[in-house]
Amino acid sequence: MAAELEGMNLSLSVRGLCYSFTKEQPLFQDLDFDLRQGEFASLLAPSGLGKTTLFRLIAGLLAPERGTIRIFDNQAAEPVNGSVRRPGRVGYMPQRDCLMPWRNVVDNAALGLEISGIPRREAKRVVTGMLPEFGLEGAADRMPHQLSGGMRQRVSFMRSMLSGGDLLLLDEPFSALDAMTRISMQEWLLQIWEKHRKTILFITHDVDEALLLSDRLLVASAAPVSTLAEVEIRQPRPRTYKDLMNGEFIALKQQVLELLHYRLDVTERKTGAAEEEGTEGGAFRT
Amino acid sequence: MMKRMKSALPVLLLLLLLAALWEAATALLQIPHYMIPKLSDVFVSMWDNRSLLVKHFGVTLQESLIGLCFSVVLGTLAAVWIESSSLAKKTIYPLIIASQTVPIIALSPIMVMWFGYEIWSKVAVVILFSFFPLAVNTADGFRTADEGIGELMRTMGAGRRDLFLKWKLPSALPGFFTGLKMAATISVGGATLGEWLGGESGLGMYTKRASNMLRGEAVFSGVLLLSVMGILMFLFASLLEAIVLARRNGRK
Repeated sequence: MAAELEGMNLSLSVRGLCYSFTKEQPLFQDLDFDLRQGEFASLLAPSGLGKTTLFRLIAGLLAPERGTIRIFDNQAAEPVNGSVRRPGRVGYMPQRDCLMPWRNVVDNAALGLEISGIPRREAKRVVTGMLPEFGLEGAADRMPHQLSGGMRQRVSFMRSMLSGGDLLLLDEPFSALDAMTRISMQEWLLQIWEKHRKTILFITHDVDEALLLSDRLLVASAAPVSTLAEVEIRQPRPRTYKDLMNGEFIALKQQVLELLHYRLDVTERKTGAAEEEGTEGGAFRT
Repeated sequence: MMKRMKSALPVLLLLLLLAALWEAATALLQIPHYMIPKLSDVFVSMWDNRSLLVKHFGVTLQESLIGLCFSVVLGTLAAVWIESSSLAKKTIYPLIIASQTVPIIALSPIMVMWFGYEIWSKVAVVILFSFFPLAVNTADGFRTADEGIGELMRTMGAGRRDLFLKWKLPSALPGFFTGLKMAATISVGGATLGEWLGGESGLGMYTKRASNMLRGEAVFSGVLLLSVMGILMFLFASLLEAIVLARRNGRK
């Protein structure tokens, strides 16, 4: 996989990544993967496989035990070493919107600009100019508690877009929204992405969502994660939910579900083994 | 404004009802005036001694406010200290909590020993009473700040200064105001106790002296005025809170 992407413009390169919370249960073991400049990739994995941990590693909130995480900037394509990487190069959108209840929409969205040292007034001017594009026109002075779930996520997304990096990490941003809002948010996200062409790594549980949005799926199936299975989605854009009904998408979906089910088989086999051990133990006692 | 007046109506009616009950019961049951004076007598006594009471009211209010100001500064500093040093979090914070098992009333005479009979011993007692709620509630405010926001700011490259000013400090404000409201009310009690231990003026001294002379109506007028002072301090703290936190809650 690494060889395959060699020579392309990379946005993120992860090599030999190892991380574990406890010695007995490593989450990642010698994990390699790359993201291309400007692609929309989704990370699909059953829960408990450390998706959010991977994001925290890429965002620099955790340090890898071994391996490197390199992030390449669009302008100057100079690699930055994972261990000494200066933060502020990725836009991180957490699962919860994490808006500051004491700041209005503009001030919340301007947080990243402010921290990077841009004067507050200038930061506000930039944000205010971008509000219409993000569907937040006229909401500049509203406080988070006055916003709907969808609008809160728009503010949160805008904040991560403005945090400086070309790489955006979106951690299940729409999981808390109702189905209708979710669909409109997905379409909206695609519009913004097609305009700005940032590299997006998107975590989701939802196979349909991943198929609709992504150029490529990265599927993790078993712990510890040492490889990510790849599924390229070459269907033309723009895509709608209707397209998900056509044969090619259904075939892709089956492929992805099989990749995910692989783990289910393993767990079944494991429990089966445990039961066998149990009976053996029982026999020993009698 | 009209809305708030309307919501205050039931409690005002209840107060009126209680006042009427008091007046009626003391008259009908013929309770001796040094046990419970008639409410009307209390108001008559208040009016007769109005200039004296205004002076004493001012003295006690001054002691409470000065002590409260010291507590605000010291309590906030203590909370910041606890927040910024993990050693202080492990040592100072539990110590402050444990200090509440020491009866403050028993410590109060020490303040008189140290600061004499002037205003400063009363201020010291007020600080003893009001420091704790301010320090602990503000420290809890810091501690319960949303970690998600802090992490997000770190991915943006925020340093300690940004984290404190833009995240921790605003997060601690609700806790601070909870502490301030408690401290404001309790500070009047502290000032009263300080005056009992040794003082020539103030409402606490006035009630104590009146009680020595079995002048029930004077004792009760002092107690009523002290309650009014406590309520006013509380309302003032609530008003401050409403103004400062108005934007984030939106209900006030």
